[in-house]
Amino acid sequence: MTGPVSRVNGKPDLSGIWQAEAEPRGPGLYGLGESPNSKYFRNILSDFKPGEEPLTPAGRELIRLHSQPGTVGPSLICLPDGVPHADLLPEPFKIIQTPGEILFLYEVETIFRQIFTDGRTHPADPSPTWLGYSVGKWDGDTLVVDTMGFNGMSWLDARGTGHSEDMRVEERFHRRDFGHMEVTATITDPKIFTKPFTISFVEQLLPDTDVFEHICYENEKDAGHLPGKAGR
Amino acid sequence: MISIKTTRMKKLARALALLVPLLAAGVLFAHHGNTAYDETARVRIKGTVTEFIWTNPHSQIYLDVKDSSGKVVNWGVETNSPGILTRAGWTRRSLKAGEEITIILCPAKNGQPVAYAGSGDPGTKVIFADGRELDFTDRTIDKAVDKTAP
Repeated sequence: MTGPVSRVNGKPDLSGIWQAEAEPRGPGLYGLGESPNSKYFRNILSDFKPGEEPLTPAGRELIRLHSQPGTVGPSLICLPDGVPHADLLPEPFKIIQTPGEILFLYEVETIFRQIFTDGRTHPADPSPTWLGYSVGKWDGDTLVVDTMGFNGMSWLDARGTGHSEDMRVEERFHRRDFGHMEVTATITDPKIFTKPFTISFVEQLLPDTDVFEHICYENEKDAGHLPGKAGR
Repeated sequence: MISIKTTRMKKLARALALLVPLLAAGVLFAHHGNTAYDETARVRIKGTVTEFIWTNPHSQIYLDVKDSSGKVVNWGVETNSPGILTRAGWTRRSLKAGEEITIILCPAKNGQPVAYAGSGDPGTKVIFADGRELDFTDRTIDKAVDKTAP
């Protein structure tokens, strides 16, 4: 797992099955208890002390709305996790690297993300989507991915930090050795955050498995019985 | 195929009936947020499997358990997705109706015969009559070799 990274077309090959490296478990609740996961899964602003979170009034109001009892987050009704939350789940994703694009195949909801590395730029007025429109280029051995065109509906974390359609995310992927990929994600959304902020985490290679189909809606029963309406 | 779906729908309705008391209390959230289960507890129950539903987002184990007065109560135990269970060594045939098992689980806080056992709660597991165990640990992470794992 600490061995060298193979290269393809002169660049590191990021292909593999990846999952957020587990953190040591502290005290407290972890929801319905999937595997231990990153602190950013629960709260993307967890690097900031309470009271010092860089939130605009609109950003704070969105969290307040999302925290109302009975409010149903999108993933509870089987809608997609967004960026970078989908990279922080206790279920893996598979990277398939090809010359013109890099594919992220996410187990949860069996959805994919295309990161176009063919030199194109973002469309001028993309149709808003859950995972945005991603273009990638190499900075040495680091893949830099720039994503915009979000629909504003996803939650950035489990506690309900929201974002607007204007959010822009820059992820940097660096495969430091065979089994580990260092990732940073910088989130810019002036409507919601008073300044851009960056989270850092490590993805771990799962060498002995694959991504499985995961269609949440096939037996989702909780949401319809909660008081209140779906969180938006 | 049709008969499986019908049975599943009956079982889903039962899952509903089990979960409604918890949901009415507004505390049950899939994946995120507060839990209706006491995750600090590890309680051992023994019973006969009546159903094992292999499904997303959470598989379910149902078992008939005799309480202290001898009355049989059917427990519903929620667990992980098929993807997570597979990586822990389970298959959809891992539990069969009629099988005697012991489960170490996190029970519902409100005393209902509903519980959780899964990958987020180390120590929860199924123990078969022959002593064989199935827990929820991911076996595909190469922790033995990975020097940087915590």
